[in-house]
Amino acid sequence: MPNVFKKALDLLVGTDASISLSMPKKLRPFKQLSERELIQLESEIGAKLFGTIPAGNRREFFCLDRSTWIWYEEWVDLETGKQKSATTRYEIHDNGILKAQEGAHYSFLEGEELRNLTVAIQMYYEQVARKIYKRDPRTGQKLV
Amino acid sequence: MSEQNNTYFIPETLVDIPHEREGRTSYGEGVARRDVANALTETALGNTSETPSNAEIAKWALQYTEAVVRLRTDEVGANLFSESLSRDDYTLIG
Repeated sequence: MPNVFKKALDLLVGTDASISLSMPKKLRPFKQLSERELIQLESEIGAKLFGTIPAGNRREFFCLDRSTWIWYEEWVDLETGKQKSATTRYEIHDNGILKAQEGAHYSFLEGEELRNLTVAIQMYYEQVARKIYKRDPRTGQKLV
Repeated sequence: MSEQNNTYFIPETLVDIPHEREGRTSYGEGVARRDVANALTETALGNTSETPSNAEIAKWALQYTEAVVRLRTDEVGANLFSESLSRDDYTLIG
């Protein structure tokens, strides 16, 4: 699914370099955040769900759409000094969660990896609900 | 980090979440990871001691995924509404 990867990369890299991840600039007084900007903010939270990001690395983890999650990681190969990156797509299907990696590696998650991803998804929801959308994750009500 | 470590890096590293080493999430009122994991296997999946199937876990994940998208969609929709109001305001002022 090259379109999904392209969409994910557009979200990661973006087409407007002036947009800051942490504090998106409001272009007009009443202009609020776009869907892409919201995903970028969510990804900042998502990336931290998995612990400290090593210095020099870049990590993204976010919900792309109703059934897809994206993990993206950039790092410098210590042996060659070259920058490397990897994108993993998780697709939620009726019979399980499919992991798709570049190079056409497909496999359904099993065991602890499946369980951990699902816990991460729940934590992602709970944290973005509170931190970004200011809503109680259990009731959906606006937090005061 | 070596390339080898990045091949199948993923959620196994969840155990390294720093704020949960103290047993709580960073919000104070949140739930500990252990609680979340227990909820995953016991409460949400039918309060059973049986190991949930992959399909049941996927269904659980899908519910949270849809909830995230719903939050996002609602936010964008609310923003559109607010922008629409602002345009009306400008019209009235103009």
